[in-house]
Amino acid sequence: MAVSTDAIVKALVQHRSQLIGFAWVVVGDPQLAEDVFQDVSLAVVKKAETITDEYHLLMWLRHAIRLRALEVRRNTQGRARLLKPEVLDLLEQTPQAFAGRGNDEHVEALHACMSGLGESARQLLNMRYAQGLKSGEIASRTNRSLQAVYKSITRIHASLRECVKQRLSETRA
Amino acid sequence: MILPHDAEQSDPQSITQMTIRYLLSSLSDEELDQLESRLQREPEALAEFLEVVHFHAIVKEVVCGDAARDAILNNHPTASEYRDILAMLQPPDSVEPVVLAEDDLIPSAGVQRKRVRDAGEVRERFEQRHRVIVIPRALAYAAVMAVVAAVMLALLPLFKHVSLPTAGKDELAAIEVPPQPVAVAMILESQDAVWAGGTRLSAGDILHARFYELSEGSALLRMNNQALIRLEAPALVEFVSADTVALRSGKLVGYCNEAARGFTVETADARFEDLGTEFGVIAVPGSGSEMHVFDGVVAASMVGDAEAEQVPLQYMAGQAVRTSAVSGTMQLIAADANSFETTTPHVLALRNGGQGLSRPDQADPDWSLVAIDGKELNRPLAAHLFDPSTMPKDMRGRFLPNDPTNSSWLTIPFLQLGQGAERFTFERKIDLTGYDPATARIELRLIADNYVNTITLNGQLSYEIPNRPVEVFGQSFVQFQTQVLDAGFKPGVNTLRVEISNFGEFDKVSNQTALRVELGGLARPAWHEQTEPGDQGVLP
Repeated sequence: MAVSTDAIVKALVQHRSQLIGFAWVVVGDPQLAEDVFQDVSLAVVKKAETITDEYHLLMWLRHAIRLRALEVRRNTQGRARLLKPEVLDLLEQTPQAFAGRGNDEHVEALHACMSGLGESARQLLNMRYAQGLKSGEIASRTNRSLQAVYKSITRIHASLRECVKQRLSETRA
Repeated sequence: MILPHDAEQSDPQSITQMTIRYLLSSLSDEELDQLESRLQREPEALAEFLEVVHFHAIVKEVVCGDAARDAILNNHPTASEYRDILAMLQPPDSVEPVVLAEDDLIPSAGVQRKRVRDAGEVRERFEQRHRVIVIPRALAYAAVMAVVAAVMLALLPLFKHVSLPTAGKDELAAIEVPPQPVAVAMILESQDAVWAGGTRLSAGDILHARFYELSEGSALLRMNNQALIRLEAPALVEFVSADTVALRSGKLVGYCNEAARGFTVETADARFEDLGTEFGVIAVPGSGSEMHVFDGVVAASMVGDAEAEQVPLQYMAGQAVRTSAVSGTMQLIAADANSFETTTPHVLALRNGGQGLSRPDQADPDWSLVAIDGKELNRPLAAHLFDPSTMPKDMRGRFLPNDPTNSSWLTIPFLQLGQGAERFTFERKIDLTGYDPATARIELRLIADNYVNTITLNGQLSYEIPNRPVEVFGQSFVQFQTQVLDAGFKPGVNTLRVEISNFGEFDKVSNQTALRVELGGLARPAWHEQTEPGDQGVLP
């Protein structure tokens, strides 16, 4: 029995961030990862008749994301080294990759945590994600070294993640 | 917010740090080698990597969230698209839905594809006219994404001419769907089981050779090699094949009859092979694993110890081993059944009616005729094989043919017995000695000429036909009906009775009656209740 359009929409919404994240790992760029996700979202409908259930659907989505991201990656220059195929196999198939749970909770907590960020930290995230600037461009715009930009982004992410964990554990308690 | 400086977060070699730097494309080749090696060797590192990546994707979505929503609203949606988006943003049920008029949204009428020129203005007008509802951003964002996805799918044909940013889109559509992994097990029983990843599974569902994560409850499974296993949540398990499972974390109890001998449970550091037994395994990532033998013998060896794998040590009932992930050694401890919340039921050895019989004069060792028309016989009379192939030609095809390897028809033993009677009661004993009767569950599959009237267990009525069926000329007796008995069992020997009814007056020659019965059962052993709690503990 073919998977329904409703199930496809649900899976795309529920697993969106995991799929974009996986594409990001392969393609090495968050904006291109978004493009990969959109390409695959369109293509999945054409495959619906050959997909039997929700798990099968997620298998196909992750596999297609990987292949599409690899193609996109081939057409872009200057990418850093990619994880080797055996590791990508693990990332594609490991069960945690299929656990599309807690997105809403995370997003809610993240909003609250982001309001606690300083102006420069928020600007940095905005340049990186909303404007799609590469780390090098951010470095030159902010007159900082590349290493300093890396370090700042890393620290911002770490602090946000800690804050979200804290908030989620408080909410659940 | 104060940005962190603690050791873990500033350790450049932590998985978190390396993952973030991988996403920033700032890892050296050497560091990438190290990351790859850890992802391949450490399940926790893999989980952490995926979590960090997922978190990054969410951060990106949130940072872009407002921009995305504005983009949707400013992207000149049609009135109906805009209405869909706003409708999706309504909170569920408790709040009165708002119905929008086209005029509310469309600044200029009369244009074939009406567009919202200024989303801000429309929103302002909308909010002036209606109560403003505050809803969580997450819900709003999810709703917008749902609409975007739905609209995208609905408008698929219009995307024919959209050029993708890179080559290869045609190849994308040609990507084959990965084949379903092979089926390796079936769920027999599900106790409040919740499976991660949106997987909905219940009794009767098939499990394939892949990972499954049980988040809540427990599930009893039958592997295709006949081993029974009970998984207790939380558990992460990979079904490798029909006779091997890899327990990444959590607990399982395995029960293997002779047919399932060789069933193997692998953990990160050890391998446990059943040699006809019942045993429990606990796996704690990073700490090691434990294996407790409750019955029979289990062979155990550490992973990577080639010599031990060749000649694994064997452990007997009452013994248990604990492995150390750090030292790579195995330590003998006492088995503790109470480490496991539930025990795996055993398959009861229940022979089907007529199984193994081939001649009409052969008596069935289990089933007896005990009453006729409700009147008890002085003594039980063993039921005899009934062979439909000996019936007149026009009759024989109406009965499911006997299958001596599995089950055959049974009937009353003597010609003169039951002449003119209508109801016949057959009985068999079910011995639950050594089992907990509260856990017994027996499935009966029956066919009767003409029909099953009642089923009683230990004198208590378990089934009664709701309405006496009407006799139909040329009735066939080929379809089993199933009845499940899961209550009313007592310790020791139980008495099961099946009363069948025959239309008209029974006559051995012209109006036969017969019963075909197959049965299967499960019950948990009583040892679980008798075992004293162990004092050597379970892995932390």
